[in-house]
Amino acid sequence: MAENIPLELGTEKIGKLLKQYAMPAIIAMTASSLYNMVDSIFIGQGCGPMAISGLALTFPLMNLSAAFGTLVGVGGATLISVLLGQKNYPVAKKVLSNVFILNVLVGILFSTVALIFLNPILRFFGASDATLPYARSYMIPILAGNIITHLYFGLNSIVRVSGHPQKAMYATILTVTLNTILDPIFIFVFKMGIQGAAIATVISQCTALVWIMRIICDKREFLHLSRDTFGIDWGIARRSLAIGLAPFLMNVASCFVVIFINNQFKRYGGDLAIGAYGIVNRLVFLFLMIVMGFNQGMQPIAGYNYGAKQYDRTLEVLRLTIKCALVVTFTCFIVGMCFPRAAVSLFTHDEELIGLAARGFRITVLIFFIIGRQMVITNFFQSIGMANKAIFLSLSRQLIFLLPFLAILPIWFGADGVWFSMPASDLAALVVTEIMLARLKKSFKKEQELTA
Amino acid sequence: MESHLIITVGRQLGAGGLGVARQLAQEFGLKVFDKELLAEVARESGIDATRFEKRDEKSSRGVLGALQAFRSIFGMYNRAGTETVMNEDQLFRIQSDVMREIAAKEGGIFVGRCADYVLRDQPRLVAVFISASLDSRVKRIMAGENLSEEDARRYVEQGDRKRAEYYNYYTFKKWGDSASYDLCIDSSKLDDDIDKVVDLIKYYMKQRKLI
Repeated sequence: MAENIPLELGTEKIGKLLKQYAMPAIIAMTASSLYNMVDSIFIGQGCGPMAISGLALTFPLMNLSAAFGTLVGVGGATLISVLLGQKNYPVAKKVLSNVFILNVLVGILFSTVALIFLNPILRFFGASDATLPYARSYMIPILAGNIITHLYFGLNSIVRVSGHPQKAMYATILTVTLNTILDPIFIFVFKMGIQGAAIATVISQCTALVWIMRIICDKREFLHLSRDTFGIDWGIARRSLAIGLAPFLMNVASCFVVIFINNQFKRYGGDLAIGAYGIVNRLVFLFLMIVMGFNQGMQPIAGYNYGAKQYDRTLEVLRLTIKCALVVTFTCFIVGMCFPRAAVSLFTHDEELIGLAARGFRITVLIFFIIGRQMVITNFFQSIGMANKAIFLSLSRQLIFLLPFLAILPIWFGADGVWFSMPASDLAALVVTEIMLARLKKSFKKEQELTA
Repeated sequence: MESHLIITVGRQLGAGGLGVARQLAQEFGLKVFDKELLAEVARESGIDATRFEKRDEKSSRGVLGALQAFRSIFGMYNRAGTETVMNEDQLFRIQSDVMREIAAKEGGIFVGRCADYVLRDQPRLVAVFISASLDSRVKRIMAGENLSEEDARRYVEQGDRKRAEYYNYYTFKKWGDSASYDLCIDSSKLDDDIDKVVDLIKYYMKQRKLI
């Protein structure tokens, strides 16, 4: 996070700026999506097609756990960044200790509840008799290590905002690398199956956490966890929870969308369809996360130049980001259209699952040659402070249009209908987005004419 | 290098804080930095002032928070995304930087803006808080803003709430808490007379050997 808003944002070449600001974000994003993909690949190759479906069932539960992490983490990181800007170290330390304690509390609570009700939860998420054992044996180690996961993510984001973005990135890369090494060892050498993958995940996060704890407890740092400030301040806790509440709710909503998708797949296509969706999900996100990285890079540039009323530069960064995003989503489109079987074969060698996933992949990326626009423009509205519009646009793609399609299309088209809901809602959202952008451009022009 | 004289004036709405600041400015030949002037300084360094005004002393941040969820929607592990957009926190940061710069360069009288907190490390700082009884504040607002008594009362109460929210949000302290200031003065006890308030502040500054 920039200490000051540097003036270069208003003068430097847009292309150079975008590269400089987007690169770290892209690396972080790709790392986390690779992490998820690696897990799926080893599980699919080592434990069979039903394991893939079992794993896909746990996505929403893992999302929910992550949502609880944001509930505590986002607020903590935001407050700390504000406090460090004012060199208010005593209170920043209090926030840090708050984040620490809250993460532990939330981690324990979530694990306890989820472990007690694991079977009914997974059934609700769409598990069948065939997939439930896989989902269970994956979730039990993950839930047991939930505190570690929460602490790792919560503290890592604080390391990031407290002046060590690089160390935070190394921690992320460390977990990805370790997981990639440990996964095959636990699955193929120790023959622990899907459970082994979960254990590998927890061990790699635990290792990264040890390193992060060393940074966080380093007394030479202005901001460190110290005994005399250790404790919970409910005033601060309330505030950081208030900041985290909105992202939390958005995350929860998106969990329920995935649960609905999985259930529709189970109903119209059976267990394997859920697995196919899991595979496609992993593949598509690998590309979408890169777009998200570009989006993050665009934000400060667009925000600054909009603030400085340099509309030409504002639109220029928008145009350039769209171009980059389109290259990425178009690549995904080509892969999905031309080599879907090759791509999904990474995850499984089961012919039936390959067939299902390849078909699903094709349908999912139907309008990907253009979807980059929608994602960038939505984020653009956020960058220039039009938060409500951005929220509406993001909800339109992932909720408002998607849910009715998901409910209705399968009635006529079966499992294909579930797949088609995604490009259909993408397309509808794209239309709305373009209309809103056209209006915004008009208002830019008006203002420019007024000042000219 | 000799450090400059800095006076920060926190004030309840309608307690006459701005008047006190202006008179102090005149006496010491300093400028009064309020929202507008700070925005202007910021604009000179390339940041638009309207963005300051729009977000004047408010700290509602629920909506912006929701946006951070954006990224996490797309991937389960991506919850650590940090905010780089020009949000209120960063505007506060810019404003604080501008204030510190002015304080180091020329000194001045700062009204509101959590100045006592932002500039707390300045050696020649006098942090003042001006309060007044509700009645006299309502009266002053009725006269100044041409409002009915009922409207003025609401205006005062809302204004105070906003100021408190803003201050408490950014400083992690309590607005108007005596520990944050060198001097807390109830202007209504001094007959709502700005001259008397200013005299009192000057007397205090003499005792501290600042003037």
